[in-house]
Amino acid sequence: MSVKLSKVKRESTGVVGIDKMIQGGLPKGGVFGISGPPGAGKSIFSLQFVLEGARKGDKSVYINLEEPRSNVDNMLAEFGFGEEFLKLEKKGLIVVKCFDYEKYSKISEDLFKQVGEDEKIGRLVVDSFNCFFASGYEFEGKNEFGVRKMITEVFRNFRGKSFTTLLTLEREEKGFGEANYNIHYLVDGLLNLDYLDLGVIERRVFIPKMRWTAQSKEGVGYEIGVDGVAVGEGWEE
Amino acid sequence: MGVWNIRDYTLNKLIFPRILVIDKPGVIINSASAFYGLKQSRKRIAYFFEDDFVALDAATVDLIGKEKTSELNYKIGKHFVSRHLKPSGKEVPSFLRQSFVKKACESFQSAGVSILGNVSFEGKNSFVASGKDNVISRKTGDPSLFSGVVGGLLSHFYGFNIEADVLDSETIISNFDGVERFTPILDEKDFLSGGLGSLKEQNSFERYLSFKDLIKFGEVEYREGKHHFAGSLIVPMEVSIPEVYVKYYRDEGLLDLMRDALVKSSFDRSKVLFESGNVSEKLKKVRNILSGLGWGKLFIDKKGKDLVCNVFAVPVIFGDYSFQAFVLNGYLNYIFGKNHEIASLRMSADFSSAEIVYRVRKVDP
Repeated sequence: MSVKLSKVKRESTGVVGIDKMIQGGLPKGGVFGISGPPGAGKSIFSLQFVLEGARKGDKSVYINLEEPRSNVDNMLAEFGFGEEFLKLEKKGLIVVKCFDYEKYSKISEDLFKQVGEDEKIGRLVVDSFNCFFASGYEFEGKNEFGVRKMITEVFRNFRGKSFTTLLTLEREEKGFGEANYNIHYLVDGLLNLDYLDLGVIERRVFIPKMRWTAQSKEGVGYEIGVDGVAVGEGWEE
Repeated sequence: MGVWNIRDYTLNKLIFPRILVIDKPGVIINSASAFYGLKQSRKRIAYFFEDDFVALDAATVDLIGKEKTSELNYKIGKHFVSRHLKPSGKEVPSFLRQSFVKKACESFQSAGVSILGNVSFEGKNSFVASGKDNVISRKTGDPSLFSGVVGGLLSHFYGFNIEADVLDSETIISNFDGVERFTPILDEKDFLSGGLGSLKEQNSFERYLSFKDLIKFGEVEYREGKHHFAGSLIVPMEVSIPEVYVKYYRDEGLLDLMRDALVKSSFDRSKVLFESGNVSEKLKKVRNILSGLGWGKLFIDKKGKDLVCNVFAVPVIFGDYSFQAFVLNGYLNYIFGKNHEIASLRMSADFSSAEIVYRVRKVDP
């Protein structure tokens, strides 16, 4: 696939090779999902996305809805980019917010509202967005329709601003007792990290949906190494 | 696509639509309408290696001769149709019969039965089917199994007993006059009365593959009308078809022959499938191949020197997992480098799970 520059402004993902699959990056201002099974590398990818924004001088926000800060620090310590990430955080170009369960009820009104009002933010990551469903369902006593309406309002809020949003999604399809509220229809694009284990693990990234983009139709191999997620060699233009 | 006439539209959209409804680890279910009755039926399917049937055919010919093998295959093929189609009890109007036969042939063709790809009626009572590169018979040279299918199809739709013949390795013919009323083999079990009791997820920390995972990663390819996996042709079948095979082989006193042929065939295939990796990786691969091809979810344990295999969401209707157990036997022999035999094969009361114990043979053959 030849990479032609499109007229849509794009944000580099910070992951080697993925930008090539989507004509240079994610369309600016959109809301995108990254899905995959546990261990596929979604959180690592999302940290790289945040870092890339900060490198370009954009204020980038990383919100973790299920893990304490110490877990995020442990993840950063595993990768070569961790030190740079922490330096940029000290400079205020990266903001990390970790929430515990008791504070979930405040997410929609307090946190997302605050984020929406901060005009300096260029990138936002919510990891994982599935936790947000639980917050809407349990704390606000909403039925499925109500949660879906809540999600749509949040999306509208995100889209109205200038930042590009990446949401990590735990399941690709409805089932196993979890509902995904058709999130894949609501986002502007979807990156799917997946792996096949036939004795040896083979990892691939697929891009089943990306609005305003002639994305690569084929899955491309990737690895998780000291530099984080990287699309492997052998992918040709 | 063009404009369909009313008859084609009815056949394609209402009576014979085929939709994949469930594709999850170990289980593949598609949905099709029963002919004419407009009644939706769900069929559980699984994919089987063509080479296993070829090997079985070769071993049978060696023992009982070509003619008797052809007769056996014909009977099995005719019985297939009773499993593939679900009679609604309504008589097919005469003006629709030929169309129904052709549509049913198309559904077999989509499974790689290309000998039913080119079918025609010559006058009212003469039928010809031909095609190259037909599954199984392209290697055995004998399409008797599929002449049985043709006999079964014609009998079902016409309502009287019709036989078909092999003209050559790529052609099947039938000339028929209605005399004897045809009674389909109505097995008392519905398509999905068994094998689904444990469709709910079994607890596992490890991920099992589904058929769509294999397609997504390009491990299963579809080319020239057939599915391929690891260089071998795989054939989708309604899950009770191997049970039909086992039934007929058992009735003929040929079950040991079946076992030996399938164990050897899968052992030989293991040289490609499990070429690399340690034992643990190979076991992971075998259980993911089985779950990806719709054979249920396999859990393997070692108890002393025995291998205890528990399979959940077992793809059986009549409670006979022997065919698959023989194939698995060959894989395990290769992986462990020892000849095992089935010490016991137990099904749960609702046929939803099976336990197979493989034991090292005391004396090598």
